[in-house]
Amino acid sequence: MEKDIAHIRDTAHRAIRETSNLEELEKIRIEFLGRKGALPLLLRTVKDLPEDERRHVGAEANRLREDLERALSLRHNELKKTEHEHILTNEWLDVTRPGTRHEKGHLHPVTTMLAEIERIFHSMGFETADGPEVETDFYNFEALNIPAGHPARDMWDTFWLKPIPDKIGVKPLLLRAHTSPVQIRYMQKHNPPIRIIVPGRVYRYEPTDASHEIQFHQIEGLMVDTNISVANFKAIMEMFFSRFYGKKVTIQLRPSYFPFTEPSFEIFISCVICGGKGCSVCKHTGWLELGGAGMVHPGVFKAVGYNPQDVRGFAFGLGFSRMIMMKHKIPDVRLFNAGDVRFLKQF
Amino acid sequence: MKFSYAWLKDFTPFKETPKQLAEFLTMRAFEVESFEKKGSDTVLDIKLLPNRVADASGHLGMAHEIGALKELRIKNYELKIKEDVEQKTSNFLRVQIENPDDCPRYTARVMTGIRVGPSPAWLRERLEACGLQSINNIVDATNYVMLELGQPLHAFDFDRIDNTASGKKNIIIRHAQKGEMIETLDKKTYELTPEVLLITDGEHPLAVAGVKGGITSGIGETTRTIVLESANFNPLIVRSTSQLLRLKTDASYRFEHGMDPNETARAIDRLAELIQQLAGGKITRGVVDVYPKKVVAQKILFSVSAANRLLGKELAMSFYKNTFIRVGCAVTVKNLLAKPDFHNNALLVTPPTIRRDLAIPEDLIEEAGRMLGYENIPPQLPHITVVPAERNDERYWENMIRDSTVGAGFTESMLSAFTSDRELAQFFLDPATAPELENPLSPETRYLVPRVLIKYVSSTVENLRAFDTVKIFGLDKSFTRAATGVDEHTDLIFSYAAKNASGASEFYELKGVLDRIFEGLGISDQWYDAALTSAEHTHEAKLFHPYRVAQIKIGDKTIGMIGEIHPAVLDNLKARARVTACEINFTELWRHAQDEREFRPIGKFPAIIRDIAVLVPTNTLTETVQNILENIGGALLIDTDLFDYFQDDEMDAAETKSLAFHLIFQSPERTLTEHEVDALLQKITAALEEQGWEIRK
Repeated sequence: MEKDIAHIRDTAHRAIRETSNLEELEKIRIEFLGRKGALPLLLRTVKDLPEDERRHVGAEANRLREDLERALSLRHNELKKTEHEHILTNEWLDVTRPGTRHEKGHLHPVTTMLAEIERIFHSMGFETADGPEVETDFYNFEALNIPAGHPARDMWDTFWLKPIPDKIGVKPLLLRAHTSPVQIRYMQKHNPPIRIIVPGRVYRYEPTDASHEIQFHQIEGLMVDTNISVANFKAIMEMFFSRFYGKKVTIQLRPSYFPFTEPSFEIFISCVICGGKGCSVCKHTGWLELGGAGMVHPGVFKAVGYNPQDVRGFAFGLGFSRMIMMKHKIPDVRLFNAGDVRFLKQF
Repeated sequence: MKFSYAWLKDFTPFKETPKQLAEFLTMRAFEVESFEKKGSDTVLDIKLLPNRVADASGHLGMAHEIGALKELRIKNYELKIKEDVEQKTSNFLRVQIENPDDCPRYTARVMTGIRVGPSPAWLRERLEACGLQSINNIVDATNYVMLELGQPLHAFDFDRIDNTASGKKNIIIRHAQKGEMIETLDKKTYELTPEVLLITDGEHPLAVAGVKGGITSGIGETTRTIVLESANFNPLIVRSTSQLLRLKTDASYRFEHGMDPNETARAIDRLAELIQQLAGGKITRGVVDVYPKKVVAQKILFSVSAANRLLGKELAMSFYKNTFIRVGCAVTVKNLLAKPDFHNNALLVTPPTIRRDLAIPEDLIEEAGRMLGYENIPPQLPHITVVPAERNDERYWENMIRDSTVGAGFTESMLSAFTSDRELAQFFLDPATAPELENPLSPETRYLVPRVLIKYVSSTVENLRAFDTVKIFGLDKSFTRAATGVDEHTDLIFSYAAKNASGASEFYELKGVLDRIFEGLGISDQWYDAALTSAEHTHEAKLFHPYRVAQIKIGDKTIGMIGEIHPAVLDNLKARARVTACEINFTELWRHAQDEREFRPIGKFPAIIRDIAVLVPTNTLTETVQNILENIGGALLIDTDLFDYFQDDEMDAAETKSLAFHLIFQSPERTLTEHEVDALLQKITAALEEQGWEIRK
């Protein structure tokens, strides 16, 4: 009997040691410890042995069971570990291979820059207002103090629409030559205080070249309150441009003329490239011209039904396309509307 | 406008070099666009502001401006004119203005015995420096005095004006008759209309008033007696005449901006003086001067405190007073007790009539601001009531759509608002729907684009030259003719093309992008209507593939189209791939958007999911099948999800296709039993089979 036990021990241990996979190990467990395994079969014959021998062999057999269970469990853990390692090794990835790209679209540079400009002005309480692109003479000119025959009309080369046949008396329409008509439309509907910006597309009847396009973007601004001054205008512009360029920018106002503002200015900012020392971008002047502005003319307040004695304000128009061209070093304004994806995908 | 540095210096003793002068003027008055050395002189190109032509379009006026800015005295402008006592001008000439509104003033002189010849070198040089060509001493003198004083002048040959019975020459200023002709000094002939104002001898035109002289009365070598004209014309008439005849001259430029009628007398005396110096002759006694309504200087009541408020800087009354005196105004201090703004700080300012730009207090404030220099006004943030900016909803939804679409791989474009006959024809669109321009720059800008969709399709096709796949979108305007004018609205456009693709997957991908956008806009009742009415069909079927097109609807409102572009259109465009496009009226769309989301309780009871696959004829709409599922499924069927759309060769031959759905059953109140769900599924199966469709097991 004892010889049988020793035999089981030896063969079982050898088998456990020699196996290299978990399935075989399970077979070994069944072969030796399963219901019909070698050890239980042997134990079944123990009851036929004499009392003292039975106890001895029984104890011996139980020790062997414990011994084998321990060996199986140990081997199981060993094999499990090896198997994981094996699988993991096979699952090796080349982590230096380029990532899979989900093709993303691109926003138009006008959209991106407009969002940034709007963000800054919104934070100062300026709302975004809109108006139509097909306008009347009244909004584009007359209400802005530019009556018919006014020589200043030459400052805005205008596209006119053909009158509608059989509509006598209907005034001809035009494509707005600036965003200023929205000033009038907004003031007609709202009372001061007013703070708006008006981004929009405008049209000019002029031959196109790298810096002229028949349609381009402008940003108009208007602030009206009881007491608004030139000093306030300078501060708002300085604040805007400093935030926009992320550095301190100085404003310079030069005399100009617009029929709807008095006094009128050209807006210059200290060159954001060279800081005013002079470079190719500012043509060695240290200053960049970015738009026109002025204090709202009393005639404009009258045209919208305000009492010019009670209100004051400033209005400005920024050459938005020019700002984008400077920012991205775009050499030709015509690229904006050309629809060329090779251009658009760069932004 | 070109100015001679030396000439300016003749009148005012400034010390600045041309460069310094250019910089100074730019900061205080006018942008100096360039300066260029010419011989011993320097020519400054000064961009006059349109409201300063009257006073600053001559060298004396510009010198005045420099003098005022620099606080320098202007040299006295003295004229020494010797008239001939024997001959009275009024015996030579009679001037008649038909309507004084057309010509507020006409001043004339006569000179006899002059000798026409070349101009001296100094005169030629100055004219040439200012961009004018020397012609002869008489014509050059008129131009020279214009450059000096701003006032345009003209000289006629007295003998070539028709005689009248009395022996006097007649000068009559009247409008042209329809069809009347004039040949101008440059030998061009113009046919005139009644808008044009003429200088005539009663019969024949002598000159187009304020624009150009006629050739018949022009100065020639043999001219001995001349009539000098120094007049003032209505700016509106000169402007419309100049536009009508497409004839811009130095005179028309000045007159259309409005000149000061009070300046004609000085200019004509200066002209006579100069001609005598250059060409000899005698100046007849007196001027013929028709000036029925004299322009007098207007007073402006000016409040120092109001000016300080507008400039945003405290400036003393004395500063304003000195400024206005320097620019030539008469100034008195006023004390108006009744009005707080004028109490103790009012000025009564009378600008000279040549300063036509100074009419209201704000004009004077600008003078003060310029003289001070805007760089001397420190920036100061306004004191304002805190009112947060209101959201612009349209812009908000635009940006939401942009972000979502870019995420789906589409690139934003912005395209031309114009279109041509050629492009409209490529898309079979009727030009009658497009607003037409009165003054197109080229055939490409003849119309505004009635459906901006076509610009995106064209652009997609162009981009296929550089790319195999093109996915673009935009929020751009369409313009259509309407009864009262033009309707404009923003369209949301998508255009998608991939080379060697069948177009089907592009269509469904685009539809997926749309559904994601609708979800972002908080819209859930959108649907795609495959059934176009016959009218819509004739309208749209030329543009879209007739079997790959749907109307996009929200509720019962059509807001757009999605479909593949018709192969005939693509042929017209020579497209290298099929193009699938979508057009949604964004101006309509965003009004349906809502960003309020209400929480719905998450189902507490488990859902039971069953799959069902059904074999239907190829042309059966998924929607039709889905409607049956949902009708029979009732409230417990909370979702049907098409997960497989399949057709193998065998099905293809039998003209059938297989649709497989996940059916999700759930109750908000209780756990559903398998039995319940199976019963529902049986009813659904029966309903589908009733249609003659086979359920795939």
